[in-house]
Amino acid sequence: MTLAHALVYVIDDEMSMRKAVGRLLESEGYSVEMFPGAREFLARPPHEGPSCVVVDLNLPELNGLDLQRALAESGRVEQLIFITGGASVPTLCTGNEVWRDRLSVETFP
Amino acid sequence: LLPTGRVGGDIVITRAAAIWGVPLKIATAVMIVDIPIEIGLNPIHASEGLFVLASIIDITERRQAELEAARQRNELAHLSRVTLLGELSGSLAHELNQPLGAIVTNAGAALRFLVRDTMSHENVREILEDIVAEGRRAGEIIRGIKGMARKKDPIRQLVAFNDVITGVIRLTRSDALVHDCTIASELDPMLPKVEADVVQLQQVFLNLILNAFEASQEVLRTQRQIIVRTERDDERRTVLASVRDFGPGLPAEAPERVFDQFYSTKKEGVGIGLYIAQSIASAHGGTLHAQNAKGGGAQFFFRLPAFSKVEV
Repeated sequence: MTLAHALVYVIDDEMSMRKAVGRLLESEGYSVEMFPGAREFLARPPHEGPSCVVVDLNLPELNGLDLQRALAESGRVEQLIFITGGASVPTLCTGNEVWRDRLSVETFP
Repeated sequence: LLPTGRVGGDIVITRAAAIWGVPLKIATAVMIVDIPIEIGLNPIHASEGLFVLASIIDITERRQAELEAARQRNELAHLSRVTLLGELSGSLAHELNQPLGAIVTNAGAALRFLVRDTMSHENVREILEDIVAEGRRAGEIIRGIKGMARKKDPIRQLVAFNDVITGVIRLTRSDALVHDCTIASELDPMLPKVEADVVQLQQVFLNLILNAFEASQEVLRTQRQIIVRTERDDERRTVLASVRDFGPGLPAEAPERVFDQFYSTKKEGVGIGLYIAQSIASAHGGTLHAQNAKGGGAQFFFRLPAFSKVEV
């Protein structure tokens, strides 16, 4: 698979983490675009090719879940990968049975 | 010159004071003992004329009681501080995770770049610089916690109020995220310094901010804002800091009840946090008050004397 048209968005308010995750993806050959917040990301027109969003769950203002909702409401189909430093994964699934089945949890970094 | 230092000290002083009327040093052949005394001179108008009643009191015991009270206060303050840090510990772990995660991720990226041989010198330098910066940051967080957890006697020094506040806000950043709160600070850049123990000041602000987080949980996410302000009050020669939330507010009939010992609305609270915070304020010659803010929420005012060189 060629990664030429694929784009990965990294959204994290913490600059150090954003840069680090961005670099990690670049080291694997991905094109990366970084945003300090969900609002900044939503302001960007959607990418034509395949794309994926790596987003910090605990963002101030619009958080990761808000972003997911916003994307769903505007009919966008980007895959989402949440990253979090807190142990908020269980709370993440509460009240969202469908989603729970589709959620896979990985340890990072 | 007396045979022993303390025996009958007050009698000796009483006699001697009748002659000299000044603070005394009682000396023996081998040692000098300072005895704190209090001298009172009161005029007595009698038909025979004006008399003076001179009293000299050995206040050694009172002094010791005061010192003991101060020691107990510091002990309790330490206990309360450790409890506060305990409340923070979950988010402090997260706060440490952040730089550590960035370090590991950066190093991982660098290793991959190396394997693919696609890294410029400039790249390497940038990554290593970031790793160093993050390592330092992790160290600072640990130093901050250690400084607060350590049990040592308070030291008065000149402190910038704003720096203390900024430090505490940094320490509580993750906790703010966990509680979905944002902190806005409006700090007066021209604030005079105060003479205080840094750790105890941190404790007061940590207490106020954590309480504000807690209170904010009662209201909608959009309302969870905390405003920290500082300003100078030249007229009263004080500096004033306030911490305001938009939570449900304090008991309307008696907002200051929150300072009572063992008063707590938290599930796991002991109710000494604010009590201690207030005692810290008064030990520094200042005040800590609470009121319901206009427009909702609680507001705490922490006032301390401003340091000025010319003060007598």
